Amino acid sequence: MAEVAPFPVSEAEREVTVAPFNEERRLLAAIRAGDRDAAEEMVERTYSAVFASVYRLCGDSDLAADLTQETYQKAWGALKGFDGRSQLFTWLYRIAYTTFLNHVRRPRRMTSLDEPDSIDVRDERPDAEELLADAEEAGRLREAVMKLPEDLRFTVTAHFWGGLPVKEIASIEEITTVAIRKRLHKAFGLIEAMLEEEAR
Amino acid sequence: MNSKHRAELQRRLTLNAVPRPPAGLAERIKADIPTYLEAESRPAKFARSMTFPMRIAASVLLVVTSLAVAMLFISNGREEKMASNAAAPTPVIFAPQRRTVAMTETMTTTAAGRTEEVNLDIVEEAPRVQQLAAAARMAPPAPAAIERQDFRDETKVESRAEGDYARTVVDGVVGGSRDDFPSQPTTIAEAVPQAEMPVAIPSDPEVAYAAPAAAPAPAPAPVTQQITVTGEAPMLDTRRERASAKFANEVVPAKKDSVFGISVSADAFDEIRTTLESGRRPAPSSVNVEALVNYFAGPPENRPRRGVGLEVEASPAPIPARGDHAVLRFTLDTPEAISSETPVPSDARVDVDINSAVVAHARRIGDGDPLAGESVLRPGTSVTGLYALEMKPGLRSAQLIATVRLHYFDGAKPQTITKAVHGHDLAKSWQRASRRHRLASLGAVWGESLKGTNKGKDVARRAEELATQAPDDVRARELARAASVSAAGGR
Repeated sequence: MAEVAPFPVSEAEREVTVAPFNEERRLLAAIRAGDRDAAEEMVERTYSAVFASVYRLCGDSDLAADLTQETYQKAWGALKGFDGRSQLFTWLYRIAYTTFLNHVRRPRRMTSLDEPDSIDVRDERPDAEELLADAEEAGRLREAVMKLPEDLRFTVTAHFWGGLPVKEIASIEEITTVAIRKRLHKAFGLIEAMLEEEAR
Repeated sequence: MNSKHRAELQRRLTLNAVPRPPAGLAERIKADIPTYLEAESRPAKFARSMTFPMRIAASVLLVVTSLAVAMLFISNGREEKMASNAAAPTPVIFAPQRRTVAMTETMTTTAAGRTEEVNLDIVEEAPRVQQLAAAARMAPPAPAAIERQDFRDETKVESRAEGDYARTVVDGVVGGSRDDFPSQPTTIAEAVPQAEMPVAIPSDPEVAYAAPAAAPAPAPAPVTQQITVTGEAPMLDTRRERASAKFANEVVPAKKDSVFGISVSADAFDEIRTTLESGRRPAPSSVNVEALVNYFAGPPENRPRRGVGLEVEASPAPIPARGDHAVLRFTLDTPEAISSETPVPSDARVDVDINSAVVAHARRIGDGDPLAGESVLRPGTSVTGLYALEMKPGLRSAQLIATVRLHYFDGAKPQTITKAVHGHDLAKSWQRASRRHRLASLGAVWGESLKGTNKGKDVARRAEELATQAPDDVRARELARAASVSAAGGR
């Protein structure tokens, strides 16, 4: 079993993850200019937090590692379109979250309709039901969160599991911070109701 | 929901432990960092580097134009006034002035790359009002002015010849190459109108000294103008490297039969087709599979405008076989035509790294020889290499299968394009691969069937599907026809 770290990340860790805005801009400019060292620096700064966020979503370390790697593969391709209005980690979290959802929605075995022609690429990852059916309390909580409507689910996971401030989430969702807080409030009510119903 | 419940829920949401990332995850992620970031960013980088100088240039142009317009108005007003007072000119006291313009310029000098400082002292005394007024209105260009204009033109020619020399315009003077300037301070006398005089400042330096001629010019009054030109030779190395670069006008556009050691002979398919249509099967030894692959891969829909385009794609094998088989393809395309002065990609080589952790066996389809280097990639070149891969069981979607790197020189500049394929590329069916990939891989299977290394089962059917999907695709039709004929044992 891998070494366990506290979550959410400590302030010191977060300082490393969420670099000052100017520093991020410098890093992004360097990456766009083809500076591989800058790209590696970005990975070093962010991958632990991305992994932690994905782990919180899926509850599986190997899967979280795969999805984290996939997140960065997508990020390199999407870097051109990143306008820098949100923080780098916020942007990465958004990609990671989408990657996770795509994984959950993906067919369990990645075989094509043309069965004989496709290679049996092993997908050992558990499906959505398995992901959410953890017997532990964390599993039940995760299940409840996953059952939330999409907007509430993203808000809750981004804030509590991705560690994004309300202001950042408001920025990427293009709504006010008040609306985000209302979402959180509504989400708490629904989660509580789901957990109570399950306990009966 | 009360605040206590809310706080408890928040605590439960945030206090779950998270394992540390597995060892090597950062390295896995870093291995996926594409080098094409650099290639994509180059135009943007250039645009950024140009933005500031362009803004400065635009500002200078605006100021000069505004000044010219303003001075033109002043000039017209003064001319009218002076015309009316011509009978009794009012003497104007005009103090001699010394104007100093310092300019720093970067330019190529000698092979030693030394820096020289060249001083030009242009001494000009204060002109008399009447003389200058007449000169400005009526005088033909003074000899010195003509000399200087010629000098400027030569300088521009030299500047163009050197290509990268910086050129600076100060009051119509164009700083040129070192040879244009004596190493010792030189004095050039010429007429320079002063602030008190009607002056038309042309925005175009070419006409700076083309004053309208109407009356004999008085002797021009000299004004002292010091121009300090500091020259360095930063471009020297580049120029030396360029000497070894290959340009389009130096490259013989002859078609080659092989690129990187891969046969691209366009006649290979015609010969086989002719043989098949005559009712015979081609001799296995005469079948050039690499050439067939390249024939069916064909040119790209759009060639790159410059540099080299690299496609890398992987798919399951076109025809099912025992075990997991895949096809890895790389294709290089060069621009259709490039300017004769543009360097062609040269000293190119392709490295294909196949991950033995996931691939049990790999072979290059064709003669299987190692890829050779290519001294020059001619315009209009397309070359495709295919690898048959036998995968190990248990491939995961994020696992790296292969990395293809193309190294070449764009002039003097080394370039590398890296592309990789992963497990998820094989999760899709062959039918979902690009058309070029499907045609190339199907051509390979068909070619190998003619050599007797496989039975070519289903090749005709697959090719027919491709031809049906795109009736305008001549190559697909040709392959479908030829494959069905060969499957029937000749015509």
